[in-house]
Amino acid sequence: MKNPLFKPTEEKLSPREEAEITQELAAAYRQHELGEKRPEFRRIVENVEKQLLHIRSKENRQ
Amino acid sequence: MPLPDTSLSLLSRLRDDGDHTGWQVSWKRFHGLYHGPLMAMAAGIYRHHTGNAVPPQEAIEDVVATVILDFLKRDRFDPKRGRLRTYLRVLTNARIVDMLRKEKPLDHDSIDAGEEMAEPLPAESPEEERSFQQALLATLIEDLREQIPLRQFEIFEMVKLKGISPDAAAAELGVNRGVIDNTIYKVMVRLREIAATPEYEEEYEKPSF
Repeated sequence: MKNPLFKPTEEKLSPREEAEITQELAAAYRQHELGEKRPEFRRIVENVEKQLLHIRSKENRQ
Repeated sequence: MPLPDTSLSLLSRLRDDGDHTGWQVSWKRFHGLYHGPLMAMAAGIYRHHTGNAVPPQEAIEDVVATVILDFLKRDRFDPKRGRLRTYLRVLTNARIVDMLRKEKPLDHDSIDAGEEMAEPLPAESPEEERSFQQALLATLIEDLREQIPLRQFEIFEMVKLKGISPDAAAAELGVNRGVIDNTIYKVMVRLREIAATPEYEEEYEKPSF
């Protein structure tokens, strides 16, 4: 993907490039928000938390 | 609460420094941003090693959880030495290979524990590439949020991220249209400055213009 957002800052953006940046940013923003609502997102958080608790209790025992 | 460092630099230092709350906030933030690419990576790598078998959802979720833990425990990611996406792919590939070796399923005849597993990382899939680029843009937005006044971010979020027209945003916030335009201009300049920092430039392949 070529995103003009990463064009050197000294170069001016054309209106088409500005529109392209806006579109990509909005899509990333939406995707990020949606991702956190997906069921697997929550399941992975629970899984990591469970394993972190296990690591912590092991560390505390040592 | 002090403002955290930029996300990409923060990711290089995710670990438990005794501040358990901060640590958990960090990994959840990391997970929020990179959940999509990690799932796509794990599924793609699974397909590669199994002759295109359908990745089992639960196993892929376990792999992603383990990769996140690996990332935290190893604390070896150094942005100066390589790209975050490559580092995450190496960790994900290792966990998928581990999982397949343990399972040795009968319907995965194409898996050869000796040779095929020793192959280098499979090529990045278009889905993975797309997902990673979106995660990087989401990281950039997070960084921006931390580096500009809340009011400026609010205006930027309404107009650029949520697609509310500048006139409607001005009416809702009770300001002149000029304030909206001026703020958007300033925020876009700041956004491009953040995008131009070495950490982002290295993660994001520079476009060829």
